[in-house]
Amino acid sequence: MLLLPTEIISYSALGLSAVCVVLLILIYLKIKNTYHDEEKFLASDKNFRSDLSNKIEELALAKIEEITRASSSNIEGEVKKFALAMAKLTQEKSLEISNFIQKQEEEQVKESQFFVANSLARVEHEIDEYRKNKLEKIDSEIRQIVFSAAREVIGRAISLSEHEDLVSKALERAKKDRVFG
Amino acid sequence: MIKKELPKSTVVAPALIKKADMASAFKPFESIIFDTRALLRILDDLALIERSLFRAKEGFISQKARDFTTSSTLLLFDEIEKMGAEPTGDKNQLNFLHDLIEYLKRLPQVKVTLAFSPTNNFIEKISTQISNLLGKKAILDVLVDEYIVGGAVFEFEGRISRQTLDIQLESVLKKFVN
Repeated sequence: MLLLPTEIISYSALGLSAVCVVLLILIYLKIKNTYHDEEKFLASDKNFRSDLSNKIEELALAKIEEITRASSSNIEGEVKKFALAMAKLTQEKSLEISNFIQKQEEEQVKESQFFVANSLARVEHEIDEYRKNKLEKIDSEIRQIVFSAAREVIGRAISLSEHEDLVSKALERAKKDRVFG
Repeated sequence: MIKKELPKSTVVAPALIKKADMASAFKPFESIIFDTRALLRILDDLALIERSLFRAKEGFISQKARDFTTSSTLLLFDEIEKMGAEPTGDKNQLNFLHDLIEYLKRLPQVKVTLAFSPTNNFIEKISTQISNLLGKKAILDVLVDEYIVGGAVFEFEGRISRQTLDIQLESVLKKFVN
């Protein structure tokens, strides 16, 4: 029996369709199995994730606690060290300032003593000068009084002829002194 | 002051006087000057006589000046007129007067400091002694300073001799006071 091309084609198509159906069924079944597996996997994965998350959280907390504890002790140590350093520095600076102030005070005392000593010496010198001048003035005044009194008395006591004799003697002396060549 | 009548001169005077004669003509003037006071007095007289020379009068200086001064200076002019040592003519007489004034001003002066006011005789005596020492006429410039007490200070041409009692008195009193 000869089949017509169209029949051949129809039969071929039918055959193909059947194959395709079978294939589709197989694919369907495979996909269904896969889906089922996936659901199972997803469920187990969810649990795993949850566990993992919890585990990580625990570990993180422990680590944080550890770090915090370590940091806290470090900070305390650093603070203590810093406080000690500050205390030491403060003590040093305080001592330095204290020494500086003491030195300044000593210098001021020295300067004051020097100034007072100088002033005292100057005042003593001025008093001595004043006393000396006054004494000299009084001495000079006494001399002037004595001299002027003596001059007056002696001047009156000398007669005209005695004056002339004295002048003649003075002329003789001037002659000897070669006042006139 | 009594006006002295001077005898009229009979001497014939030359118109001009030689320089050498002029010095001797000035002698009568310098012979009466012993100190600066006398010098100033004579110079005042000469200034007065100088102004009287051209008053339309003739003759010697003593005659021309007679109506203007009665001072003893006229007697000195009379003396030199008799010697024939005074020139004639207004101009010559004026020059003579000028020369006389200059001559007297240039007389050497000795400064003398005394403790008392000296008599004229004493000034004359000292002036004569000093003139003899100098070998030329010198007049005294007398200064009275009682401060020197006694003695004298002589100063001549920058040289000084101080012989006074105040120095001696001071040295004695210093010992006494100290």
